[in-house]
Amino acid sequence: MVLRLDCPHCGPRPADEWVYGEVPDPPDYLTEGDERDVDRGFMMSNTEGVKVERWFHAGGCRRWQTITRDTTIG
Amino acid sequence: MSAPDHFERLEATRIVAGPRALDEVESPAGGHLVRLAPDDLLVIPPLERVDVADRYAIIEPESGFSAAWFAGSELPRLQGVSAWEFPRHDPAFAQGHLAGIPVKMLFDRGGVRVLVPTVLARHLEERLGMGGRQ
Repeated sequence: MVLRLDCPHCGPRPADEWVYGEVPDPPDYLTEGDERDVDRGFMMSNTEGVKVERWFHAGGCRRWQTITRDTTIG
Repeated sequence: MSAPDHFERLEATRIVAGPRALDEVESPAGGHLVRLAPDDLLVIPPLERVDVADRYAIIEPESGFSAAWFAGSELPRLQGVSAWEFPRHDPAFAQGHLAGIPVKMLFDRGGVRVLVPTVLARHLEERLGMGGRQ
């Protein structure tokens, strides 16, 4: 099954047309600079359930879109 | 002929402006207004003069796309190398990946005009099995 994201301008399109753009947000309890950099670079949130994400529709309108996605179903 | 040999460079005008201002741009006679995004418009053929009601509008000649016309008999083959549904009516505009390459598609008169960034045109020709340039 292909993951599809619904672009408000272009319509439903397969995920390979999109670039994921999570905004890294290290938790407050990490205070040391290197720890925050590692968290920002490698520790994705990997939320289970409904999540609001930013995706760039590189293969279509070339605009950033805010998309709500349920990670348990796609 | 239903399948073209190659893509040819397309001349157009590109307008980036507020959506309301773009809504009011008039189509040139026999031409197309292609809404790439709410704030991004491609006008084919290029306009000699255009008035846009947005003082911050960016209006530039656009020569970064190449285009080719495919007859309706070619549509099933094109649909076969696309992971999204083509519009079922025309005229219509759609954009997305075709054979893994980003394209703009203008469906009209039963066929489709495919626009591809010129830098990727040769790759798309190869992937679609087109004759190519001599």
